[in-house]
Amino acid sequence: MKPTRMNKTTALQALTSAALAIPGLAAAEVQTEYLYAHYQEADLPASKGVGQSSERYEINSHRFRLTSPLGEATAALNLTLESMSGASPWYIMPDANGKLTQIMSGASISEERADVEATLAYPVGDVQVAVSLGYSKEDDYEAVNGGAEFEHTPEGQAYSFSGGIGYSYDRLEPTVGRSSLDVIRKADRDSLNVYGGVSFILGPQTVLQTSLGYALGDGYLSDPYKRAYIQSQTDHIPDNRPGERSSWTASARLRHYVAPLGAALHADYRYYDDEWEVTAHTLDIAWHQTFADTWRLTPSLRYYSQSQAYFYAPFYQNVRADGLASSDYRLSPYGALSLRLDLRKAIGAWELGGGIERYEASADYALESVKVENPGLVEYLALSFKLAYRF
Amino acid sequence: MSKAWVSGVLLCLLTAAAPAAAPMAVPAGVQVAPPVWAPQADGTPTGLRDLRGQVVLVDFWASWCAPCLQSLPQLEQWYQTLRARGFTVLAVNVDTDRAKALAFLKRKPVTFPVVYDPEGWWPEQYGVGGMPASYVVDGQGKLRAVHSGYNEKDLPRIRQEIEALLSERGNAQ
Amino acid sequence: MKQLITASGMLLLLALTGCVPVKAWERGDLARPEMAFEPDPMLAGYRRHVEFSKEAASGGPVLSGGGCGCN
Repeated sequence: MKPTRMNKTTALQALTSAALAIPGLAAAEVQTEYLYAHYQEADLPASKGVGQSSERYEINSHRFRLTSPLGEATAALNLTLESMSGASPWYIMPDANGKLTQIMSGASISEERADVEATLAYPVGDVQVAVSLGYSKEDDYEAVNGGAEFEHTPEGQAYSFSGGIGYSYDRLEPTVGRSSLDVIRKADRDSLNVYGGVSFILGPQTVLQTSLGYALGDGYLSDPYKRAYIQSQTDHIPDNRPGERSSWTASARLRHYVAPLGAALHADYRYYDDEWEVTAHTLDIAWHQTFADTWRLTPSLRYYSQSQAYFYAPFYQNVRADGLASSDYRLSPYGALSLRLDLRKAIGAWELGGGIERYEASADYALESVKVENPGLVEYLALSFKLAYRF
Repeated sequence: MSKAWVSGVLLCLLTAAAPAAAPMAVPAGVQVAPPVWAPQADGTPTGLRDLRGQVVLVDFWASWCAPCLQSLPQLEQWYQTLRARGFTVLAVNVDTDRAKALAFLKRKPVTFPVVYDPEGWWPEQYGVGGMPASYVVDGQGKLRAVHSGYNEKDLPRIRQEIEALLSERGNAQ
Repeated sequence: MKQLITASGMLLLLALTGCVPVKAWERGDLARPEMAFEPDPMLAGYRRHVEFSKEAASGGPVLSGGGCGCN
């Protein structure tokens, strides 16, 4: 008998938690999770907003997840149910002194969103592969998406490669504002995204992942519920964005275990750049502190800053020559700061937890100085509750 | 200044990218297995010397190694069915925190000998390149097969190897 | 300039963490659940969804699912 060598799911599985982005690969057990989140946007102060209703969005989300081993593979099923209500920014009107007023959408929108996603992860030789399919449905919006990801750790090495490709087909059919002639009836878009990365073990307590991503959106990329004010016409026109948007991201994720304190430090950074001239920086720092073995407290801080899209303006003097228009706060220049605190407690096979997040967007937080702040910038509070069980 | 940083980091990444542990090549069936001599939970040391004459599967494991949740119970099953024919497992735990290993064994109990090597002396001698890692040693203390990782598909083959060594041992006696 | 500062900060952090080749049996700390790139995929997914619907930038080392009519 000849000595044999076998190389299978070594580092990958032993290191799943440290080296992998594909979820659930190490799950040798059936696991269920439930997450409830309540999201509440702060109402605009009277000085900024007018409209029949300035009560902003409130969302209740229920997320369920089931992970199970299936022979050599691992299957995961995700279900999301959300109910949303509230008014959203419609357009911005300047007064005689140039002071901006956010006009909110008239009717308070109330709708539901359901989203299902199934993922199957399995080994192909010594590469772990995961494929996923998803479907999302709202009154006025429908999306089908699919994707594939892989992860590979060369034998005996301290680094892993990972990558993925995803596609989504989205169709929208606005329900509000149908009476207006200039509001679209139906539209659709395709989105494609790819990423590739390498993670390195830098030390017995440190891992770093660096990656590059590319995304392309093609089709109707405007917001049918938003409009832009044209001063010379004293009227507003539909939000109108280019039909194509390609973007690049460069990201780094660092994990460092601080052994003397029994805590893990997470530092994530992402640089974003797109065809609409938006550049953005995101820095997310989290401290995962374990105590008494079964408790974990995680304070985290997220900083975000973006520049504006080239065609964005809070309002326009005249219609642009290229016809583009958007006063959406999401394309405006601003920065955002988010503070979070999450607590988890394991009791046998159960895990229980809760968390709070406060997010505030402001022109003052932007990296570059902002001349005019969009009055519709969002501020929200999100509370979450989590329950998980491992069979 | 910034160039120095960049080159420092590049150097760092390159060293990190170098093989973490050179995978061990077993030459044609004649290498002597490093002896393994380490304390069991009660403090009494044991090792291959005490198991001479038997076919031994030396298994390196840790509580944090996810596939070990499957591999240890599998080894226990083989041990139960093949011990009468002269097969045993010598499990070498490499956890730095003994309590974690004990908690793991409470969840997945085993009856074969388990020794504790928190310093990682023995995996170093064996050149362990992945977790779990197992080494099949024949009755003469020679290293006969190496397995890195855990995959259900490989189980019949490993079992065949063990059985072949058990027959070899039976014929020799 | 600010990008440069951010970049050097990241590099400094990297250099400080040092780098020693790590043996297979020394990866216990790296295998801890809180050391995962995403220790709580469900919560991370929720937050990504909210951020995706409120900010211009999105993407990274993840697959983006379908969009939404989020306002």
